[in-house]
Amino acid sequence: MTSTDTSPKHADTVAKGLSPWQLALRRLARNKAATFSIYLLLAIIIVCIVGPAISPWELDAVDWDHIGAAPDLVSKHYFGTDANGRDLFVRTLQGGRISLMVGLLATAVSFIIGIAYGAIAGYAGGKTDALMMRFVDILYALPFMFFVILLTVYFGRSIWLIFIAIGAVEWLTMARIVRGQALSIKQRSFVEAAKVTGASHSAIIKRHIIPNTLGPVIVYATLTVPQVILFESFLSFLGLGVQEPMTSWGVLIAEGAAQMESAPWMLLFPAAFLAVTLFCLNFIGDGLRDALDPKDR
Amino acid sequence: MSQLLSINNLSVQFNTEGGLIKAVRGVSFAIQAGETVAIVGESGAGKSQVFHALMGLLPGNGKAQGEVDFFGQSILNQPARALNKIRGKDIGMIFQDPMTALNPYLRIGAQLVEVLMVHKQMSKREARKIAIDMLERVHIKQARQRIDSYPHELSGGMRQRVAIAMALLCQPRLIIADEPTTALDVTVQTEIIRLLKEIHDTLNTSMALITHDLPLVAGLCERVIVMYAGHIVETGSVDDIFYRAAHPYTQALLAATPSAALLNKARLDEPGDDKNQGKRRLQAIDGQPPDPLNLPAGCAFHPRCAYADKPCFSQEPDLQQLASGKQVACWHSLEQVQS
Ligand SMILES: Nc1ncnc2c1ncn2[C@@H]1O[C@H](COP(=O)(O)OP(=O)(O)O)[C@@H](O)[C@H]1O
Ligand SMILES: [Mg+2]
Repeated sequence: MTSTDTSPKHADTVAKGLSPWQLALRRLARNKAATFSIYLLLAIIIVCIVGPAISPWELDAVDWDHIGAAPDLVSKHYFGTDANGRDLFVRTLQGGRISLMVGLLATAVSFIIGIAYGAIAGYAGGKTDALMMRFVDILYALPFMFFVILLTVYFGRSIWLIFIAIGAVEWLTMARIVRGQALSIKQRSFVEAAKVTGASHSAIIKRHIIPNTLGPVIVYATLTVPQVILFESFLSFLGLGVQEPMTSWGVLIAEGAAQMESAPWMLLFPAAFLAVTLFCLNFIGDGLRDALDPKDR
Repeated sequence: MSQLLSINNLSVQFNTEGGLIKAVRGVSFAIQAGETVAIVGESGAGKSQVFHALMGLLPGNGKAQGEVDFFGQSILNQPARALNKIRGKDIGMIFQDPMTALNPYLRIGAQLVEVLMVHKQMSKREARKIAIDMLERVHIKQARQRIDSYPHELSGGMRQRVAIAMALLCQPRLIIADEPTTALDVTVQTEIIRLLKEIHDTLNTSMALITHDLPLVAGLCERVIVMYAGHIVETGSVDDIFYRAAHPYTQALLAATPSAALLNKARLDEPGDDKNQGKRRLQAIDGQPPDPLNLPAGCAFHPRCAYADKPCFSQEPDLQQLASGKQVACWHSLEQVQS
């Protein structure tokens, strides 16, 4: 900046601008349930990352002395062991890594694809829009379970397959939401104003359409993470999920459910982690929805 | 004066589920360099669509026909790529609602700088300097700090000033203002009009001012075009329209204008023979605006017109020269002239 301004006497200077994002973050910070959930979720993530290193047990190490044993601090099986004598503390946290990674990564991927696809369709409108959304409808109509089963039969079980399968379903809804938003946002006069100042289509989509669709999509994404985690659990429950000795909360819950009466801890710990995570994500999603409420802009 | 914009037989149609809407039906007029023109008419008369068509803003279901020349270049129905060389650079446009005219997620500086970077090969720094100058020009206080504000931190009037600054950045030859004051408080309205007048006086920019509040802009405009149901029904100098309105619709429109009471204030500088003053108290125009899907036969205004008779029911009158620079499309005004 050139400083030709020689009048430092401005007492009533203009306050430094806060962006709508910063304002939303402030509103979010005032939401106790959401803030608490964010910290709790962060704690769960950190425990899942560092926890297994604290335990002396390995993911697939069998403790022949403690098979199907209850939680016990002396043997350092904090959550007990499973029917094969493997440490449940390590397995629950390792499973959490997989579940959270699948949830966050698949959501992130579908977020990016969905936003790009939906924004282009909504902004283009007309025939392009109709064609692009028809394609989404067709993918929607495909029986995805069948698709996933076919893929696993063909390529074997793999974590990447789960990513692809889940991402492929989830971006469809994102694209629909963004497209609906884009349709209404392109009517707003700042888009017309950008057009009449000679902005290119791609600049309008990037600078004007996408930032304005982001609010509702972020909320939806937050609520998608639990959906994805549950979907992975469901696939694992059916035996289509991650491959042994790797595990996920879904796999552990499936195994635990089978031993529910004889060894309730096998179900209790992974189920509690999953439930708390899902609650946190839902509270965060609700908090974000309130914080990003467009009526406050 | 050289001709800046010439519109020839422009029509705009919309394909809707209910049928074909003829929003603009064969409109022709020109704007000279340095001239300010008001386009008035009730909501739905097709005022906005005339300019949306020439700026390439029609939605997918809209179609424009006719000829539009800007500075000797045909611009109607040109692809966005071609229009983007003119839009923002030679023609600036201001919209009605300042609350949605700026992107809430971008600092106003970013939105201003962007325009300059698109049209002039300019560094960010230079562009920012010009943007600050322009904000000062539209009387935004502390422009140097304000440029880093987000739109939600500005009042409606200030946002409209920013929008005007944005339209002015590249010093366009023509500014189109589509009801720039309709969404604002009355006091702010006159401030914005004063600003536009100041811009016109200092930069000699041509202006097309769309409004349904004629007295408000009377001090700013030289010529008035009155539209009804997609047609131009009357055009003339401001005085012609104010004091010698020939078309029954123009007369009714003036009588129904909210700020007609402010008229005297607006025109203090030249007290005219204001003999219709008493009639110009708020009174709604009788009847409904025409259904765009189902326009009446003959003169589109005839169902609401006190003078309507035979020719009005069956045949639409064309614009005819009444006096120099004054045209009207009404069977009755024509009779008066001919007899
Ligand atoms: N997107 C659209 N689809 C269908 N009809 C439209 C559309 N936009 C405008 N119209 C019609 O065009 C006519 C003129 O509109 P407009 O030029 O915006 O009026 P105004 O004189 O108030 O600016 C109206 O009758 C309106 O119904
Ligand atoms: Mg309009």
